Amino acid sequence: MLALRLVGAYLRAQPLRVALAVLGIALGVATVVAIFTLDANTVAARLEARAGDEVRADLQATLSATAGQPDPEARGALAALPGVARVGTAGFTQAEALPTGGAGPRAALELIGIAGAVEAFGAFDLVAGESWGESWSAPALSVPPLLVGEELARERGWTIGTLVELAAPPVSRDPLRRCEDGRWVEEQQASAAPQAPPAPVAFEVTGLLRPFRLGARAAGRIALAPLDQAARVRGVAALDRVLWIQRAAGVDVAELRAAVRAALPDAAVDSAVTAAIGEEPDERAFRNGVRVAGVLALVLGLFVIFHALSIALLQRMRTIAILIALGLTRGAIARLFLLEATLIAGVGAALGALLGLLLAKGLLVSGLTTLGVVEGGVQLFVIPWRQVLTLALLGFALALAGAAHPLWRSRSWSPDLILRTRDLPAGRGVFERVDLFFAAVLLICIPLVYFFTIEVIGRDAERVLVVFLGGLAAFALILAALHLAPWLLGALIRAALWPWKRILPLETELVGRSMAGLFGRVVVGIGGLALVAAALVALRGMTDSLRGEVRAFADTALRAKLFVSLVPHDEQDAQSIAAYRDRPLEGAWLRTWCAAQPEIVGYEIASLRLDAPFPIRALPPEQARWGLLAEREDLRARFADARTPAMLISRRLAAFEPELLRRGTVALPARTRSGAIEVQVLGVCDDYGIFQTERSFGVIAPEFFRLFQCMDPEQISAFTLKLRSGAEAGAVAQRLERELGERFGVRWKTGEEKLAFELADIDRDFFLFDVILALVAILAGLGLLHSLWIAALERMREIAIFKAVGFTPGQVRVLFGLEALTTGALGGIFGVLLGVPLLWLVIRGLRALSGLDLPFALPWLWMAIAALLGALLGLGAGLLPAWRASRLEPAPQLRGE
Amino acid sequence: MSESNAPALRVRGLYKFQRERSREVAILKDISFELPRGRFLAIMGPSGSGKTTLLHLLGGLETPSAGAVEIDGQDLAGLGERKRALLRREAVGFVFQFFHLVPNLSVRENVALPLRIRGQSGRAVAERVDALLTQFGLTAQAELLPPQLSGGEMQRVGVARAVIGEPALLLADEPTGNLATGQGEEVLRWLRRLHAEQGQSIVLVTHNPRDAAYADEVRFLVDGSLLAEPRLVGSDVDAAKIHACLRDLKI
Repeated sequence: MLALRLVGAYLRAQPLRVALAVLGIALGVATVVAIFTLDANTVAARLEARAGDEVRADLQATLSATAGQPDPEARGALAALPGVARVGTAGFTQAEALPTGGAGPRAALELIGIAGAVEAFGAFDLVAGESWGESWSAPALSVPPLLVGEELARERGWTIGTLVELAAPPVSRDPLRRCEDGRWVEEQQASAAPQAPPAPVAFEVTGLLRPFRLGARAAGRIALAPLDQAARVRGVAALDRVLWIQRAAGVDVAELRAAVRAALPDAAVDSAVTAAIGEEPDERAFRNGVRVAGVLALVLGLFVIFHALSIALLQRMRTIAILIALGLTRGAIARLFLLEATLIAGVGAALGALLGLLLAKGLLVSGLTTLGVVEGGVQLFVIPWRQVLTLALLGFALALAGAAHPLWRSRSWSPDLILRTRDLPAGRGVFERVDLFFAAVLLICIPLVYFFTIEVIGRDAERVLVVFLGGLAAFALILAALHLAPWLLGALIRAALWPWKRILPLETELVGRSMAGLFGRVVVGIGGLALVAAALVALRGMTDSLRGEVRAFADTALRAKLFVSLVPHDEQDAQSIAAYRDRPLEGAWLRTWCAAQPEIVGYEIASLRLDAPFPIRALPPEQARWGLLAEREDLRARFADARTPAMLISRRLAAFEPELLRRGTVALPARTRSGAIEVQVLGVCDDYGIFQTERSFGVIAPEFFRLFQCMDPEQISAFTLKLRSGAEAGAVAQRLERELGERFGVRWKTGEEKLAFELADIDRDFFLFDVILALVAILAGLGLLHSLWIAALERMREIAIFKAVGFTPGQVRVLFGLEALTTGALGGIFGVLLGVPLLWLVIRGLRALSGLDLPFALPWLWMAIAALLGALLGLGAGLLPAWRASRLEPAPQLRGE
Repeated sequence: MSESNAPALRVRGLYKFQRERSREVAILKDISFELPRGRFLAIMGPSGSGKTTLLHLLGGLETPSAGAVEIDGQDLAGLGERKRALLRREAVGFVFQFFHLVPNLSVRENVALPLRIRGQSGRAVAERVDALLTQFGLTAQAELLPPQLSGGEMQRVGVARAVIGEPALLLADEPTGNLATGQGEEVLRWLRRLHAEQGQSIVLVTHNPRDAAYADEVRFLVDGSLLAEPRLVGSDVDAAKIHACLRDLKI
């Protein structure tokens, strides 16, 4: 009861201190909670957006009926890959249901053969009946099972147990066509002799499908059968199929994708499916970067609580001494402080969790996510309770740990000394080592806590660890250097104070003396601000580097280009759409028109494209009058040889998939009999191929599309014009609009506009970091404020003496202001020194993760701003302690009250 | 403004109240007196009589609840905190019972502090400090920090610091309260000597008759009131008479 009364009385008497302590821990917890909630909602929102039509797989490999190994060998090959947890196959074809009892019309339906763990991928959902699990092996004379769409079952009057006969359509609605020499050839015509249609296959309806994912295809006229039985219906060995792959925990999507490509060279492998959201290397880097920033905020929040609890103890030294004198045990005093710490930490952590959720909601509504900016905001809001509670508890526990050190230190106090001299024990300050203790927690516990309690996404843990621990090591190095070499700190403090020496000689000297005498506190104050300044340098240096890279890319890929899309005049009007489709732009017209324009060097055809295994667009070789092909006639000749196609790939693709260059060839899907075509990789350049924002792409001659895809290179709906340097892109576009405006809607964008968009996109994406950085800066400021406050408390007697001998309040403010400013300035400078190697580590990691050739350049402007920010933060943090110290009544201090 | 003929200190109707629970308690009541220039006044009183509070009011460290304090003809009541600080730095020197030296400044720096606060520096200050350190027998301790000194040495530093700026008024609060008898007497001899040599006006508050016996005049503060009588002046000031007064006052 006594403890409660004492704690209650103190908390009521010191509302500002309590509020600042609660705010510190709350802001720290709020930042991490906000980040993790934001991340969870970012992924959830993307999942929801795709939930209607995507299967929950990490990767999917698409194989044509004639390409690659048939199932189950292909599935087995994938299942044998390390890191693959589960594989399922779905083969797609058309079929007809024969009338029950031999009379009535046939019913067209889409028949999907499934094998493996398709159901486990959430590919379908049953409203009645049951499926056959992962494998169906046909016992002799048994009837294979069939899952049918609810709609189809209702139309046909089928129920569970109905026997159904499926057959291939007598005249294929989608005849099996093959592209031969640029012409479609139907499979039947290509056969030596027409084959008899396969016999109908009987199935027993064992389940009804909800109209969801596979069950929603073909407007519910859908049936799922064992894969081999579905192929039997069509009388073929294999169908066009998709293999869905789920990876084991912690396996890197990009690495697995490369392994799948190697195992199934004929397949188009794609990771743009639901479960892999946010798991691309650059996305992971972004998300992990946000998390690291969140941990930084938590660290600084703890910095605040450590100091706040130290202040609480310091302010009550006399009370404690009296209580000890009256017979209270040190254990009872420890319980008293733990009770107070529990109250502050508990309220702070709870408030922090609430604030964090509100902050996350606010950020989501305004469109800020951990995967960049989403136009229109994210309305979804789910609370990841497990993470929120873990983080709140973590903040709470560490805040309690913060209470332990001042208590331990207080054991060395002599109540006799405190009561007799009415002064603090002499020496370097009672709480000198609280900062060392804090630094130890920072360096040892936080990385452990981070990596053991919080899941690091993907296998980038090593790279994130390198950056995170590298930063911490640099930070520790600076702290250790300053601690082990106080003369160094003294020299730095003197240097930082030097500009003031002439105008404020006494104050400068006193501040220098005070700071050098309390170097532990000063070092950690400097350290806190250095972290913020370093984060600013690293972040801004990184965005500068990204911008530099985008500019370098733009110089080759975007400059002097005009990107044109032709669209229907009215995209809502069926007539307009039909007119557009029936009369596309002719290649001949574009060639003639471009030849007549003096500003135009050549063009690329963006509407001739292939999306797998990566985006590939068409570049007419004769039009490539710039870039690599213009410089290397041998390459151009090889590029133009349509029979043995060759392609160029972008620098980013080459970085992501070094295998392409090592092998020198890549198998591209083709609509030919073989289903794939080997294409030579001629070289790497960014001169051609960009149209939208995707930077991993290839370019190939239009003849490839004609010969192997049966696409007409003479029908164009999107193209890129390469202009002469200095040409007015807008004028060319307007001329084009005048020529084509009657037939099409002409949308165009200049390379410079695209560049501006990309640069703005970087700023938008990294705005989240700015928000976190602002929170972190507030926390660092609060930490320093508390630290200076302790200094003020420890030096109250000294200030009273100064006042007694004639110091004005203004001079007292100058003392504290100068100390805060000096701490801030040194923090800023050390932050810059720390930020540069951190930036190097970040860029090195990002180069590996993103495949971008990121330049490393010192961000001089941001280094200057960071140093200034440190000084300003320091000064801002010093205002309150300085004001309070200047208002100190000297008489009570001198009387020893 | 300073008046050349004004007393070093003039106190009129000085009150100091302190709030205790819901009522105001008078710490000092209607204190009035004048300290002519060059006078050494000792104010005696038991513990809790308000001696230290009075001294802090005289030095402008606290503000009175009512009444006026004039130092060298300058009324403190009309001055803001800054102006009071400026007046203090020029005209007042403090000697404290608990020494109150700045712990991280050396003896030399502590002594120089008042001059440095006035903006003085360089050779002149150094010479003045050296002279005082020699005078107070502190040359050997010049570079030591206060925690390394004995109580007597600390108080000598305190006195040296109080007088280095040659203030018109020296306020000494129980300067021997934390010293052994011999050390205390040594400090008082220094005060007396400075008073004789520099003609400084001194107010000493103490409860020790032996200390008060060094003054020119002794007055008594009882329950916050400065008594008109008894009042010992000149040759009447000696320890035996002070003891007798205390006995009469039942202190």
